Amino acid sequence: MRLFEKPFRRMRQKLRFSFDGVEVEAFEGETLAAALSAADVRDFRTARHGDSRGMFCGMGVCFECLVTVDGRHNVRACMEPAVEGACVSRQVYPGGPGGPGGTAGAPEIRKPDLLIVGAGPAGLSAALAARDDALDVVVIDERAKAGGQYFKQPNSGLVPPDGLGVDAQYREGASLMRKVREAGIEIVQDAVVWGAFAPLGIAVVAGGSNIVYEPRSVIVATGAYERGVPTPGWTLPGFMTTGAIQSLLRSHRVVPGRRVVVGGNGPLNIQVAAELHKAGATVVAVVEAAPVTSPGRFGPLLGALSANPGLLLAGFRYVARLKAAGIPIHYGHVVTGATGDKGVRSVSIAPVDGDGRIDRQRSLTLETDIVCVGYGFEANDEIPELLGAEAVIDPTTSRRRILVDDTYQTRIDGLYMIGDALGLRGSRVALAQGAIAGAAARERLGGRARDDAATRKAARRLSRNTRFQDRLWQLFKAPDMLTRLAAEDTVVCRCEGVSMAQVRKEADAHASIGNVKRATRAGMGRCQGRYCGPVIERLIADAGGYVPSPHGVMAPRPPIKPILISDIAREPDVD
Amino acid sequence: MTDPGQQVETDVLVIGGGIAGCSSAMYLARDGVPVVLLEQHDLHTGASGANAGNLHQQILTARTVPLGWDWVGYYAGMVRFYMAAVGQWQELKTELDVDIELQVLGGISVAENEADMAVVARKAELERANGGDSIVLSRDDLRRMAPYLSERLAGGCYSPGEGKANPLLAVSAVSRLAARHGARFLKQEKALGIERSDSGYLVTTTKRRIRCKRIVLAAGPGAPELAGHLNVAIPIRTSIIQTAVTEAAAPVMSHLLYHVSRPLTMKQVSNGNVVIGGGWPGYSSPATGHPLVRRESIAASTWIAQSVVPAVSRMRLLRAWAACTFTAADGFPICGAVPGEPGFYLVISNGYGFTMGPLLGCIINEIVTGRQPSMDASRLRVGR
Repeated sequence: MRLFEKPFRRMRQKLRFSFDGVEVEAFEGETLAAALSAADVRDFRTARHGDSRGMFCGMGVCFECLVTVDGRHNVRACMEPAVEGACVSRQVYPGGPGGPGGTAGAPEIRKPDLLIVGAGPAGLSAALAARDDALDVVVIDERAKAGGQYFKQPNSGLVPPDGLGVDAQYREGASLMRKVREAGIEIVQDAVVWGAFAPLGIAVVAGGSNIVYEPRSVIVATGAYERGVPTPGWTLPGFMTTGAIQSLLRSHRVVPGRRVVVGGNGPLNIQVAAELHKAGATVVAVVEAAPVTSPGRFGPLLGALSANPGLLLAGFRYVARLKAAGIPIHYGHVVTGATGDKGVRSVSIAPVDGDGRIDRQRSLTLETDIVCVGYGFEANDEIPELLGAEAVIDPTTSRRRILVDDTYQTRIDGLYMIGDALGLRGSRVALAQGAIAGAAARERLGGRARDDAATRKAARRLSRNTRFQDRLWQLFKAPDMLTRLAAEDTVVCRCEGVSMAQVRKEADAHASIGNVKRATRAGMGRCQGRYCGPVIERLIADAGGYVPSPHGVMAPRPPIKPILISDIAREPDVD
Repeated sequence: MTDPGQQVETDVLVIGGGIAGCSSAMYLARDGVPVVLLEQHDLHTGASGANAGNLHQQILTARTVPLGWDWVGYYAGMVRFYMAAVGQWQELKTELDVDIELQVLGGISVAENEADMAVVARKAELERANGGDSIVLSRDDLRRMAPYLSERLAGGCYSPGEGKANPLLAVSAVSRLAARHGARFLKQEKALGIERSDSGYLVTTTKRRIRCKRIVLAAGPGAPELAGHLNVAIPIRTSIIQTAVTEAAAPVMSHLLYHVSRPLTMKQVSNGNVVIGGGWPGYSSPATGHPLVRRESIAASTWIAQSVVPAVSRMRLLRAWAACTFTAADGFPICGAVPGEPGFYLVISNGYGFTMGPLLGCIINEIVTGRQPSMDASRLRVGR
């Protein structure tokens, strides 16, 4: 379903392409996934074991939405623009070699003073703070448009006049981007970082160009991706992340179906449900794992209200909008599975207690085309990890956390890390961290000294919003469902089609994650272990024999994202 | 698992849980020798867990011809061992509890020009003189045998007995076989010191002291430091090399491939991924000391790969990783008793460690148990 509301109504250029021989209508600026979703196509490919797959992450991470475009295999539908006359087809595993071929030649070496990786709230804020006439500051960003997940802007075909948009979130993002551009800071879009090499080399492919940045300082603001929680039926087309459906909505004004169930844990799901309802989708139910309305949550609620009343009231408005529409919000419930043949037809939900025990006696079945689920995020921390930045295992999350000082500098001189990549704290915290790290980097590089008043202001914003986030997550505190929902035959490694039973068999007390990987192939596919890695680590830890190491075997290796050989291959120097 | 602190006594202690150590423990245990294997991390986490799983019988000329033909001429003596080593894997395969995807489909060193063809002629002759079965291929032969190769190539050298196995499955299968024959494993336990005792050796680890009559040291790059406790010098050089792998794709190539004058080994594994190696240098992280890959090595190795099989340039690279490798100056493994240290044995492989692992395990078992080795292992002697 495509939305045609103001101010986007009259700005569209229609085009057509074919999908398995059937004509599909699209609009300029849409991705293939957006256009196919608008046409109610969910099934994009056949996976390793013959099962159907569709869009899952919607942000280029999971490699589930692969299609063949004009003979090119392995094209991510969520990243590929729809173009007039393209011949697109469902892909059958594994596909042939996919790219255009050729070789890249010598990389262009660029040496700015400061390189900021990621143009979301944290990166853009850091760029503004670092601006100095004496410094060459460059921002690189993986997407076609700046803004990251939070400030994601409408696609190029929707081009609203500057400052317009359908809500304040669009407008705030557009305004921040305009300030960065007016400051003369270059933002390079479509720039995929594929490697990081000590001391501070960042290897990039940007629009087919092979570039190596060797800056004096790097600020990593690479954000996060949604954690995958293996659930029966989660590989069915129509089962996707909350972020995926939000991207379709905010970038393309597309809803990928008629009926939607929103589930998982955290305030984002409620916001997205309210936006989907406003956009005209039938939101069947919201399923929230945390018992947000239980009496014990009153304290955190008051705490969040006092820390940032504006943000909490915005949350209340989303809830009120859902209530007014008669949309049930099932607190203390989880989506326990989805069923359907080549796509989701129904989901089951059930109550969950504080220890993660599911009461299947009180299970409900809901008819729906789409279920989107968000259970929190995993950090994109590959760059500091590859550069050797010191890290610890966070005892509360059991995930790797890069160590930073009070200016967000890692233990590596000149390497900073900010925003959700450092642990999910939302856009307000990211903006404040960006201001602090940007100013610190500027001073370190010989630009203007830090302005005490500005630093204090950022520090105040940071502390207020950190407090807000802490209270908010106490309010939304839920049992960790990471390994609790999957049945024995549920796929854990989506890429290689490895089941929970297969992984469990290897993930015993004496296992290392490397040997589980070797024995089962889990984690060796295109998503590079981003979804199954945390699950396997948890299984081994739960088996009791594993001490997680911050530099474990699931540690990232170049390429950080799969990269076409023709984009980086270079004839060796003959000496 | 044995509890920390608990005394352990055994006849043979194998130090090092890679393919060489696990094979040694397996053959010893199968012959009824009480064996304990000690590994500082998990099994197969060094070079054995990071290699490409190639079964080599050819000389990698791109890396060896620059050392001089005299060197290559002596090193060609390894071909005899490589021929036997692939046979050893095929025999061992039948005893393992999983399919290790072992396939012998032959290997080709490709030549780009007349200079390469001259190298091919000379190397094929050396290989044949040392028990190999290399065949020189003309341009037309190459086209017929491997139509997927670049049309630019001038010919090559074919070795029918080469192949591949899945090292991810194979090395752990060997360790499980060793356990079935009675070998015991002490993992996450590092040897800190070795001293002589009345009845053999006393090894101090991070968790206990181990009494053993004999030691088989198979600790790869860690071996020189451990042997140093007994004032035994092991002349090996270590270096960090890297390997890369593409996404899975429909079958493109069937052979194990080399380039005669540019460093490359490449093959497509059963799963469909193309593994690209050739001894390209990685580096050691200045911050953590972990082996890491070099950008220049990724760019160069993938360039050579796509120059040999053009379809490779249209594939995505999925991962590249680095590991520490080690070799003696003459390129031969070290396998045998240490003179002057009764009961102390070394098994240190060479650059083709995966290929050689089971054969070296078999040879050291014969030496430790006092039998005549089934093939002349004098060139592998310690202190040769």
